Amino acid sequence: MARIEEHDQEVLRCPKLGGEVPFRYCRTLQGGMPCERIVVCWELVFDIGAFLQENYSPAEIQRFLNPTPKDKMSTLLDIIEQAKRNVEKKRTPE
Amino acid sequence: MEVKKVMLTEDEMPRQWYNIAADMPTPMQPPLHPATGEPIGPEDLAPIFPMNLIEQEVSTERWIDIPEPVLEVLRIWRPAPLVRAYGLEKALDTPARIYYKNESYSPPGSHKPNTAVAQAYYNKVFGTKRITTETGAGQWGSALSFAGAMFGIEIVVFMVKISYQQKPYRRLMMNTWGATCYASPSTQTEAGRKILEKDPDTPGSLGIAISEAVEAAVADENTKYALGSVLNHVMTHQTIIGLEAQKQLEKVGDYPDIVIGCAGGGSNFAGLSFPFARDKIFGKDLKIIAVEPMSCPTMTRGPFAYDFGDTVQMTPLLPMHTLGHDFVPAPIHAGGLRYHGMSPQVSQLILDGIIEPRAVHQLETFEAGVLFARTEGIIPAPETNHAIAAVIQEAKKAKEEGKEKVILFNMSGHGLVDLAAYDAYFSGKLHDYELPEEEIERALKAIESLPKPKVAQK
Repeated sequence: MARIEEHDQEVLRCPKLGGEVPFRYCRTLQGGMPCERIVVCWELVFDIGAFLQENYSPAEIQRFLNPTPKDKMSTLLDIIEQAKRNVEKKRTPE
Repeated sequence: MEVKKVMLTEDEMPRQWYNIAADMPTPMQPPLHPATGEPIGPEDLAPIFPMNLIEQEVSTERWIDIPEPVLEVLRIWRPAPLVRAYGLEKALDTPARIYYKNESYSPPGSHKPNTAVAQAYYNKVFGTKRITTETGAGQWGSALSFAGAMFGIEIVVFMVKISYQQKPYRRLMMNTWGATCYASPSTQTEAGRKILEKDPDTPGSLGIAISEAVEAAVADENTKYALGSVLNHVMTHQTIIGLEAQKQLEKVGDYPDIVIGCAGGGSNFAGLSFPFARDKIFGKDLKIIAVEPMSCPTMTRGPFAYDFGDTVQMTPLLPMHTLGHDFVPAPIHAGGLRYHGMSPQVSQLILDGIIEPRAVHQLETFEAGVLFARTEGIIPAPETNHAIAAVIQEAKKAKEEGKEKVILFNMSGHGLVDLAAYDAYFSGKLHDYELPEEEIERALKAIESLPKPKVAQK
């Protein structure tokens, strides 16, 4: 088992989903990178700080922890713009 | 005989929602469009929301009439009882008087249909034929499905795949109410197909499910999208909880010293607390506590005590520093309440000192839920247990102080469709702290002298 997978079977309740998830889910949520809440949720279950430093670069950690998250409205507006592009792509014959 | 439940007649139901936007000490700034940097206009939201809800979203009218067709459906279970928790009080041997609003009576079992019903109605009136949404474990998806059935409007739910597989009963509730539920990512949308192409075995995420639900709405002019929390109109719809509670408490001659609710997106918390927050804004002395799920139990220790001066300090300060001193804590990391998933109104009221945030570790929440079940009978939803844990903390404090405090909290839902969580708790799968005490102390000491981040300023 690769070192990065050592905690994969541990289980916590995900406050966003409202259900129990294994650490593997939290570790890979954002396109293979961890969820931005990974430290907040797991910090007192095991040494998540050491785990992240062993397995990710500082730049990666900064990125996935997302220190300046957008508010919900901004995210929705971004998703609307992306959805318009998806819909347009589907309507435009190639 | 002591009164256990304080009831209102249907005639006594509130006829208006309370919109706290009218009374915010710091008025909310309009959100800026990320692409233009300009304040957003109705046309920016029109692809996904009907105009009548957009108007509510930006309204600063203090009172908004509840349409009669909405009241008709709400009357299936409302007014919700205000219950005196005599059993819990006795178990804690506390002089505190503990009341809770029982929002678990609704057909889906939680507070969520208070807004689902309103949103379904406004969409129907607008001419919407279909509403889409996303859901994790299914509380919101099932509430919207119920509301759709009440108004004859088609509901499509994109359910995060890992939850779709884990929670068949929530999915079946949606189907029973006539909704279609897809495991997300699905092949129904371009957003879903792109993800599946890259990773066919992905368990999904809320982000993907939202993208699918929004795309399905954008793609069809007769389809709109609905959200279960965070946005202003949702908070407003939920205030029926607190408005009923105010009338009920008046009947028994009590007023809360402390109002408590669990806060994920903020809707059940806002629903109970906003009418009381109004009283506090206008000078009433009471404590309003929003309890969130975080793992750090050391909220009152040393540098992590909440500071309600010019700054609000959030628990991510600890995780930021457990990553080593070369990790620079960004000033606006919110990991907790002031972040992407929380109502901006709740966040602003925390910054204004009207609401006090608190974190409770999950083991303590389950201990609280089990005590509640064994003294009051109802098995709470795991989310609700966060509020109950804080209630127990405050009740114990009241005992230490010898004070007859009145504590009001929101029993936001039952846990009967979420017993897997209790199973995980009883079988020891939900971990206690593995870091020894001295390690926690060491980590705290290491950051004692570091500057506190400014999350936001008054």
